[in-house]
Amino acid sequence: MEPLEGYRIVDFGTALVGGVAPRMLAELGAEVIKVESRARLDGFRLGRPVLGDEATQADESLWIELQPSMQAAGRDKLSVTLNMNKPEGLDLVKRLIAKSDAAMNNYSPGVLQRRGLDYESLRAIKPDIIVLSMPGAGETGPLRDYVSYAMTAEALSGMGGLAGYEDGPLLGHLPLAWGDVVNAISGALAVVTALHHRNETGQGQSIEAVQLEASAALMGVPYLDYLMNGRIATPRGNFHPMMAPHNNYPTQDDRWVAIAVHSDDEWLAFCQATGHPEWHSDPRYADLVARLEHRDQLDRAVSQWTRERSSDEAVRRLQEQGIAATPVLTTEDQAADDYFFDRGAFVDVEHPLLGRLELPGKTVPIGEMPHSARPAPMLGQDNGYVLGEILGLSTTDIARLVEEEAVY
Amino acid sequence: MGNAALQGLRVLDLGDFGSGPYCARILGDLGAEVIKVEPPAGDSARRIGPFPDDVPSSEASGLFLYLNFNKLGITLNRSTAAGQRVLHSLLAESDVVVLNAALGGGNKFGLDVQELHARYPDLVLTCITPFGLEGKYADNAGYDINVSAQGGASPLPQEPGLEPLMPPSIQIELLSGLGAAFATIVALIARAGGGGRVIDFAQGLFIAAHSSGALARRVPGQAAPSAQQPGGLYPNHVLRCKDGEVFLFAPQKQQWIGFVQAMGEPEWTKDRRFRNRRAMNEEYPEETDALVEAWLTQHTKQELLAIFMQHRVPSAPLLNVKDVLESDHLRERGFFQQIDHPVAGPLTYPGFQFRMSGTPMRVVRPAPLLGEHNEEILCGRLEMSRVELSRLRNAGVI
Repeated sequence: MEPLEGYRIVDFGTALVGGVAPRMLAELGAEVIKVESRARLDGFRLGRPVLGDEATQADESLWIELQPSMQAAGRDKLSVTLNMNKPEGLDLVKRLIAKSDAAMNNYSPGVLQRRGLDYESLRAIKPDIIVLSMPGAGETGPLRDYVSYAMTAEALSGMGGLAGYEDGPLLGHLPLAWGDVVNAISGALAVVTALHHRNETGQGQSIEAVQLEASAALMGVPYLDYLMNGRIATPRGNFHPMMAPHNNYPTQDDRWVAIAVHSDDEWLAFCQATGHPEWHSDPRYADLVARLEHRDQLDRAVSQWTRERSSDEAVRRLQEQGIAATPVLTTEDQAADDYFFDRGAFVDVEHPLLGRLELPGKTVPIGEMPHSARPAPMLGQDNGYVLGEILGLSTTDIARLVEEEAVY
Repeated sequence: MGNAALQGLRVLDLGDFGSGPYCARILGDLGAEVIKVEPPAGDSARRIGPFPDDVPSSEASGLFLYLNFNKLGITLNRSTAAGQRVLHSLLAESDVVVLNAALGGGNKFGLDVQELHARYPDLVLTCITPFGLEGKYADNAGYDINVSAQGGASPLPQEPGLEPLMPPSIQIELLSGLGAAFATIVALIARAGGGGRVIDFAQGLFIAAHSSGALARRVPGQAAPSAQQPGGLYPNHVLRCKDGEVFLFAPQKQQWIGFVQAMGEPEWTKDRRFRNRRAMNEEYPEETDALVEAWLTQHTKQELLAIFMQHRVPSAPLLNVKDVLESDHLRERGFFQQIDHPVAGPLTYPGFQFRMSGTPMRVVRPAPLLGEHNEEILCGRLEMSRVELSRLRNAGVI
């Protein structure tokens, strides 16, 4: 049995933050119902088709099913199409929430209130409901209307300004849409915490997980450095205050290897593994302080060693001596290694239109492994189940609601 | 004020440095009682700065203070028989134990996790390692930069002569701690129906599983398009403003229109060449940048904040830590919190990841001094005599 089996979540989320937070519950067995509508589609369904063969892409009505980001963020969910612009559509949403444990959204401030879906209203329908909102900058404060993406939160928390090279270009943002990922995990954590508390006490609650604050919460070290020393942090590349060598080094086969040397014992082992015992007696590299001071020269020397061998050989020779060395992987490299599939971080799914897809898998190793995953739902594919079985509507009622575009 | 969400829950923090301590601190923020167990020499974070006035002090490391408030602290030499006895007395009373590899310890905790699971079947064992307790890379050595490399968080550089970069400022550790806290709570929910679990939290896999749509987008045999340049539309990069830098981003058509309006719709934006955002990005980015920068450099970061918000553009000035700490927005929202510490004094710390209406998160105590709660825990909780306590102290066990 999956750990969150039996929990039902109503998912109003869009894009990466709104999609991934509920997905983290879905992949652990929760029944996550994505509420969507042709009246206003999730941006992750929009755009020119990316997936599918030519014949599939030729049918424009299918484009909403052909986005890779939707597949990643929507995996393992159900989809029901309810049009909240119609009173009956909105009413169905409320009836669904009455039969659910939590509702999750990343709406802009004020949207829930306007629809009568704010916590106070929902509590009247379902006294122990848990409502999670994930606004960009928060429901209050002078920046509350700031339109926020991952890089916005990174920029405004000070994190983005640290992403760059020490004496080179400033990237200004982190990989993997970090600001979104941080926010999504925080939201998922908040909801399971509230579920745990509700199980113990019977009490629901509302939660605000603000994207900007989720990133700022991870910036304690540079904030404290400013308060303690007046130091304004700047990009440090791959610099590490306790390790040298510590960098990504180029190899003969045009790849990169991440190498990190921490203790003096590791430094000795590193010099032996690379066949450069003279580095160990070189006064420039005598201890960590010296190695940090001469790290540019050290990096050049290490690069020379890595450039003379393949990435595999460099990693093998260093790991044999207990030195932290890892190839720098792209998505393509990862997909070629069964490890990621065997451990459930990547999954194979079968999509009704697209056939076999490879998707990012279970984010945390709880529950059954490897995970039997489902692709993102096609728009409204679970209308019959949600409206008929959960809400108990007759087929005649459903047909009428479709006709009136309340189910749309 | 309601109760805390994890009231009554007992957590043993056997972690070191980053991910484990942060995971345990989050559980403490949520109301669990967290006992941090350090070796007599202290957590390695105590030796890493920042320190006040850059003077190293094991009681005033900013890294340690930030990752360890809301915890009680004891010292224990786990390699002695007496230390093992104390450890097991604590384990027997705990709901959760958080473990991560000590800095430099690889995947080894000095504990047999499966044996602990067999002995304490209701305990949730959260084990954070670079490459897992099991699997083909389990025995490999690894630090953050290696985790980042395996997880796909060190993307290949766009310019020749540059190396791939890992995320800055121990973000790999912190994200892992956050994810492990999520896994721990899920295991606690599941425990109600069937005992504790070993959570084999492999950091590299956790990062890889957040690779978003890049995997699905991949066509086997072809290079994966960069996940960071959706559509390749202008702009998606850094430019200068009057007093710093700005990250420019406006992926939706409406947002770019907002950006043009924010600039006051200068003449050049009416030129057909500057209506094709793909061409602006790929064919004449320098020319476009010069035009945009001419406007940006007339404005400060603070001015741009207001302008971008007003025009609903998701671009943002790259604020530095001073800007952020002085931010009206975060202050008005009461995000920052003051914590007084007996050695480091009162300092401002960032707030929590989220706000819960029914079970607000709070700072109950600052990070513990080394061994601060030895007597309270060993004599109070474990009902050890003071004679016994001083014997352990003299033997170097605590």
